[in-house]
Amino acid sequence: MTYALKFENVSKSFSTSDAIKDISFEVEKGEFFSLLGPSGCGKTTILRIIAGLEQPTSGDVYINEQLINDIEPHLRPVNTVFQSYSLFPHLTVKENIIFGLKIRKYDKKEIDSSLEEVIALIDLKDHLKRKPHQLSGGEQQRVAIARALINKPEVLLMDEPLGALDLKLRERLQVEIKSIQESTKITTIYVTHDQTEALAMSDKIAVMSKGEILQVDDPETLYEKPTNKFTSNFLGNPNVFKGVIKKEKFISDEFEEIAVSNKKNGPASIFIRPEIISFGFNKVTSPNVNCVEGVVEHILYRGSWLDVIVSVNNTKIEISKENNFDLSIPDEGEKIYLYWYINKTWVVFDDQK
Amino acid sequence: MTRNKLNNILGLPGIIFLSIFFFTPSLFIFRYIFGSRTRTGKTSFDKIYFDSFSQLLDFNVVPIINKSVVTAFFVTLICFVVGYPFAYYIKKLSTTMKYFSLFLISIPFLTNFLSRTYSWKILVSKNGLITKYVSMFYDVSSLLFTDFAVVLGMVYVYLPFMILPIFTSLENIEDSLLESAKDLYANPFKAFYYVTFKLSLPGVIAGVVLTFIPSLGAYIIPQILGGSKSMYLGNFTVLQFIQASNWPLGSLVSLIILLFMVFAINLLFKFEGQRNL
Repeated sequence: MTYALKFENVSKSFSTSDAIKDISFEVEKGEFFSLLGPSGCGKTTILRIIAGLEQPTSGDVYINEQLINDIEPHLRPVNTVFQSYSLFPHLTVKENIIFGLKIRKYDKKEIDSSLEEVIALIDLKDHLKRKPHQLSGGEQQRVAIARALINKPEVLLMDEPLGALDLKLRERLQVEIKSIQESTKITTIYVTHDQTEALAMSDKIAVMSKGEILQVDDPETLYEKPTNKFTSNFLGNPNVFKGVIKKEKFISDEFEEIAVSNKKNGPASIFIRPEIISFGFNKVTSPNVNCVEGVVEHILYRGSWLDVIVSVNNTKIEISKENNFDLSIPDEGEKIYLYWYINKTWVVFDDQK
Repeated sequence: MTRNKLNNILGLPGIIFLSIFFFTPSLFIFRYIFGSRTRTGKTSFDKIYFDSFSQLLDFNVVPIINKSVVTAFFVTLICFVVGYPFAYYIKKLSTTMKYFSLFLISIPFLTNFLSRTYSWKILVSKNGLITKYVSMFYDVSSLLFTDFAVVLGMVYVYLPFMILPIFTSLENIEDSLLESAKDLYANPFKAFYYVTFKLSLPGVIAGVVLTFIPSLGAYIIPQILGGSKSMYLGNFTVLQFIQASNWPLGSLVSLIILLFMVFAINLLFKFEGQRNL
């Protein structure tokens, strides 16, 4: 297996705090790899270390099997799309895009053909002669992407590139970036705090918290089988209960017994995702499902889906349902039964990190 | 009242002021150029004279123009060469040190300009500190009344006018732009040239204008440090008006200074305008 990028026990501490602690991971060639975590978790620091804008305190960074710790930023085969775009305000869109080629003294022919190639991927034809301040946020971001992409870097770094844009535009650019990445096969490291963005775009995601990587997996595994409490909580919006597992039953202050499929015993938390819970007006008895009785407290109408908050044994369970015509919406205060598959009740034991 | 009308009223005091004290006197100057100095020193306007133009050659004014422009050019150049690195240095200081340095730069403004120029007279005179130092390398007894002293004095006075606008424009450049230049293969020198320097050009242009223009028309500094033999456009003009009572020639030289300035400013702004296309 060839790796485009490898981190080996990399730490970085700033005078005030540790930014990242003992980080190790590998990114395959051509992979779309996301670093996902809340702000301040150290994901941007990792990106800056790869770009050479920050020096690791300890540990080694490799690009294509080559140690790059001591290589100056301008000599590294990586390019960055910055969160704030960082376009040169005194240069036109075209001059911005070809900056990296011009600096390296490519001849005019090469520059022109590279520009054409990039323009074919990213639609900026009408804007080439404009200055960055004459463009909208989305257009500026396209220029920033083109400016990095034109250099055909070994690793493309993107630091929350869509953070400043509105939802619609963000979703459109997500698709655009993903398809560009798929067609160019450029290894991409994508930093974001937006889980839906990471899930939708990535081949692999590293979930980060407080300077550490907690889990690296593909989106599906990460969402369905998180190995730790933070990841379970951070992805999606699960109902979380703390208690003890004993003989395949979860027992807590709120629940007498919720069946789980784990054989192990011990203190643990269970995570029940809102979308896996179904509801009905009759009790469901099946060996495969858990069923609890509750009273509808609130219904939040979200348009394409509904969030129903149900009060169960002095606690609350949130369920979310697609808003289709099959759905009979209960009234607030009505008694309903909630049920979900036993094997979908996700368990994380307290001794798991 | 519409916004537009209100806007006109806001401009009115300035328009009146400039019309009375700038535009009208300019017309007087223009008229005086075509007058003639009489024996008594009064100016005669009974017909259109071209005496002032012929005197321009008779009194050897062209070398004076030459010298003034060359001096102003060198003063501006020295101010730039000294001022730019210094402005860059201040930008890199911590916030406290930054404002302390700016305060130090502005201290001379709190002192009277005339007395500052007179102190330079002491420094470059026979036993002056600067003369003593320079005489270690060159055979000079006094630097007073030399072009060197004039340039020195002007650089001293106009240097802050170069530093401050450059500093302001450097201060407005985001550090992230340098990072993205480095990310795009620019070594530190190229990153400085293509990003920092290019983005600081508006400040450089402002600094050049603010240094070149006053150096070209300077009067007090050439008068005190250059002496009566050393003629620059500024003191030559004053000489025509005060001592020689030759107002037509004085007016013509004033106009020439003005034209040089307009030309210089125009050149600089044209350059700046091209950049912003």
